[in-house]
Amino acid sequence: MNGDVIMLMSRLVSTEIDAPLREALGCPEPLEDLSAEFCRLFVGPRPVCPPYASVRRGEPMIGGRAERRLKEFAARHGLDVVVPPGFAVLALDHLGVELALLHHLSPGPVAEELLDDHVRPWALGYLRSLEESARLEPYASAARWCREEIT
Amino acid sequence: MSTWTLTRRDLLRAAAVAGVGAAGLGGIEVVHRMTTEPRAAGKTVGAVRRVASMCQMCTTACGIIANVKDGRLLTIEGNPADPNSRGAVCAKGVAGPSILYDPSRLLYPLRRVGRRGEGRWRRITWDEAYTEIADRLRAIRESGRPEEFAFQQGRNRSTDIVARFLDAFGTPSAFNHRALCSLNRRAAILTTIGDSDWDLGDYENSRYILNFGSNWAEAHQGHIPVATRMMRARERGAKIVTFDARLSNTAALSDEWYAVRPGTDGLIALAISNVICQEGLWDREWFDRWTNYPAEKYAEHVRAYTPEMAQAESGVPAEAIRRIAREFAGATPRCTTICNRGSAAHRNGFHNDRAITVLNALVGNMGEEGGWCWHPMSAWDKKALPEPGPIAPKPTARSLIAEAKDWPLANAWQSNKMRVGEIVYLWIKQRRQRISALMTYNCDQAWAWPEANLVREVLADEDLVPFHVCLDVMASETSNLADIILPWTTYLERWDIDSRPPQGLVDYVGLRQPVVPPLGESKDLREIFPELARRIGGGMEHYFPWATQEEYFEQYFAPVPGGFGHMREAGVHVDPAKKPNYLPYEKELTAEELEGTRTEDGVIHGPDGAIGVMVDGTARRGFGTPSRKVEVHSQFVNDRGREADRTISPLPVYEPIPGHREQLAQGRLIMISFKWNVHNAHRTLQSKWLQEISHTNPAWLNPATASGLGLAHGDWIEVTSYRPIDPEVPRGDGSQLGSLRTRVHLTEGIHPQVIAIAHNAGRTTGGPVASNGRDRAVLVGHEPPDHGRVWWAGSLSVAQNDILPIYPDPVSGQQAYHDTMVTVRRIEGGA
Ligand code: SF4
Repeated sequence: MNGDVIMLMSRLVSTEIDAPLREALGCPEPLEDLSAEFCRLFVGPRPVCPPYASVRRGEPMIGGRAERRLKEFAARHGLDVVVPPGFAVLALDHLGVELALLHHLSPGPVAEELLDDHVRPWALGYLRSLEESARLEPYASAARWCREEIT
Repeated sequence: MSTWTLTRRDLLRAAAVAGVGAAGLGGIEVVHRMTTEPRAAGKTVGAVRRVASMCQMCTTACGIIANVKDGRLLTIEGNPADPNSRGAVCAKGVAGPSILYDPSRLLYPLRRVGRRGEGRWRRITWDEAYTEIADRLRAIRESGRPEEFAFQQGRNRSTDIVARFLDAFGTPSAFNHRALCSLNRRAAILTTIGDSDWDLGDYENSRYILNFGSNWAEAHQGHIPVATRMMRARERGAKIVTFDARLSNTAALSDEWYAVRPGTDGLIALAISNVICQEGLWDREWFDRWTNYPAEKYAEHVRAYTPEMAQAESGVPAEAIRRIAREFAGATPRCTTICNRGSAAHRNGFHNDRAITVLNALVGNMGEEGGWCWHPMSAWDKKALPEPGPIAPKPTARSLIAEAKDWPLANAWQSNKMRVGEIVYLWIKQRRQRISALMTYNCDQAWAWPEANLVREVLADEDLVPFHVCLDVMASETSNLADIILPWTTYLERWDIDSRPPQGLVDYVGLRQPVVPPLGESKDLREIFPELARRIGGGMEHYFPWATQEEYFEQYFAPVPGGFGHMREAGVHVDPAKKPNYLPYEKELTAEELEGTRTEDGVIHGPDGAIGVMVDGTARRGFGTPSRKVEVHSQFVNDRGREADRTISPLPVYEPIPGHREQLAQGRLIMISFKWNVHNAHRTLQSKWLQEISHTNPAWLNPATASGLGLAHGDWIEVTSYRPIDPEVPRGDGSQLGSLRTRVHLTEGIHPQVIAIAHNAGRTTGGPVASNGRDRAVLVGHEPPDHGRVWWAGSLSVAQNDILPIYPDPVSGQQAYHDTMVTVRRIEGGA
């Protein structure tokens, strides 16, 4: 598994592309358009692809069972996550959090457990949806490659 | 999508260059906890915390206990210490968590990108939002025309902080929704008793209750407190009779239900009054002592309103009217009326509610145990718990829209400003008052207002509304038309001092407190307004000296025994020394109170106005009216009408709705709206739990009516509405307004001349839950896994408000919600 792809995806779904990342990606889109696309996809109003396992699985509330299970997993393995200020992360069942955990634990049996029990059941379908729904390139391609990494 | 494509090689190079893998750009970090041993799976961590607070899923503000575990709200139950709701909550109250954790919630400040209404947004920081809003507002304030900043509120349970900010700013352009709600009822009660604008029948102790169009089992501003007392009364053998055009759940819980033609409730009350007078069932002595109009003359006045006339107009059999009159009078003083939007939200609603109120005076049940009661305080005791200073002076600038002088009773009472909400956007469109900035707060006027399409047209026009900030929990038709969206906290994440008209007749005070920290970057007005005031400056900041919200409430609740700490623990406080407000008018004035007073025509005047009345040689407190008696005859309203060139009868009368008879004869129907027990305007439509219970709104039609129109259950119909034929109403030319398409629901539970459509539907935005999947944003590409998410997607959901004409009662400005004339025709094939 390529850790760079995983961490880039984790970041792309968690906060807007800023000037240094835009430059590194060689992305020609204006920053404002990239920000609007980030909102449209992940934040809303009415996000197209809210990056939460709970939402994806049809729970009526953000967080909920999916987050509780992930918290239990993290507690069992003595792990905590620190979300930088300004990141649009409301609950731990956020894809960005799961990918960060995956990156941290890989490779190894705990990473496999995380993948099997928490990530794959929703994120494969989610990333396919994201690839289809994204109108701007970094999101579509990153979703495809991330899906290939975790399949 | 642009033509640029990102290759995997580019991406890997970028990742390496930017060092995202090493968190060089700042990413989510994973750290190992310093735990000695890993926790076992499935074990519960921490205990459930029980936090007392207040519900605001509707305006009733019931006391709640929130069960919170590990920082997450699990469930909500009633707070037994709350004297109004006494531990009960409704389905909406229980569904609070589904609003708090709603996946479609607004949680970040957003600024529009592109055209207004285009739907493209970017996140901004609070600092950016504050700067832009403060710069705009400061310019307006410094221009010397503060009224150009308008504040549009929906339900506002933070009245202290809202008034503080608007007063400090100096704008009188505070627009509320009272005219869309309870204006006529309030105006009628204020006119008649003066003490209060809200009747609080002592239902629990009553033996006979006449209900004129109040749907207390499902909606109503006092929903749970009233419904639980009604049911207790019924258990004890009380009888409830309901007059309503529709078989509501309230009607179903009554002993008798009569399907009445809309707008005739007042006539029924007058006919009942007539029977009571003619048959001598009245408490004539009480009427003559405590009202300002002789019983004989009132009997004369109501003589024309015969039960037969009431039958012809309303559909209630004359014999039933006679029997009910006898039963009602026979139960006095333990009998009372209740009324609400069914009687009041009409073109003639002021007189309907006047007639109903005076019916109580006729049987002498006013203020009696089990009778028709009230309380002078609609909230907490503001003398005992004054607002912490410094208090800003009231604005001196004028707002043409807020004053709404065309409607003489809207703002006739100093203490009770009732704005004519439904004309706000029409008048902005007509450029009667310039608006430079609009702030919308907890209101979805672009969906919920009559002629909502006109509201949308105005909000979309940057000439008419150059700057629009929307503060709300949910994405809505209105937030779609904002320039900046500020994410508001839900009632479960914020502070308030609050209480409602006390159904137990003893005032109380409650605390709403955050049961969990605000989600995302949401904030409450109590944080936003002080910060804006500091940035706008010019002295505004002076009125917000508190460092924290807790500090403010510590000061506010200091007079309560145990102070803020007690309130945080218990959620509510009632002074045990206070007694229920029975027979307040009988209270004898003390020698001290009478010192320095003068008596004129029996009315006792102190230095600040009338304080009492001489009754049979005794100085008593009386009522809060100019005559200190129940004003069956109101010179006050008659005079106010004359000043505005309107005729307002000083006595309760029945005024048929102009144009109704003629149009009914042509086969048109009267369209009414109603609310389901699980919904409350736009906000509850966000709740998956509630939408699963009720999410559709076909049109109710009586089978007899349907067969005349050739309609069967489930048929598709087109409903076309018309403006009123009424020269006293803006654009009252009878012209066609708009159409909607819906399906027929056949039921005997509706008056044959009526078509009823629930107004809790027809959203087009706010996500798939709110819009029955119409707003498919979240659903795109999510099937099949999300298929079960909105299992009712595609079910019928029509917006009624677009085809409701702006129709203010010429007397008060109350929106006549239930007087719209429509035609109905069968169509093939659906929407
Ligand atoms: S009646 Fe209103 S305030 Fe009371 S529980 Fe129901 S929604 Fe909440």
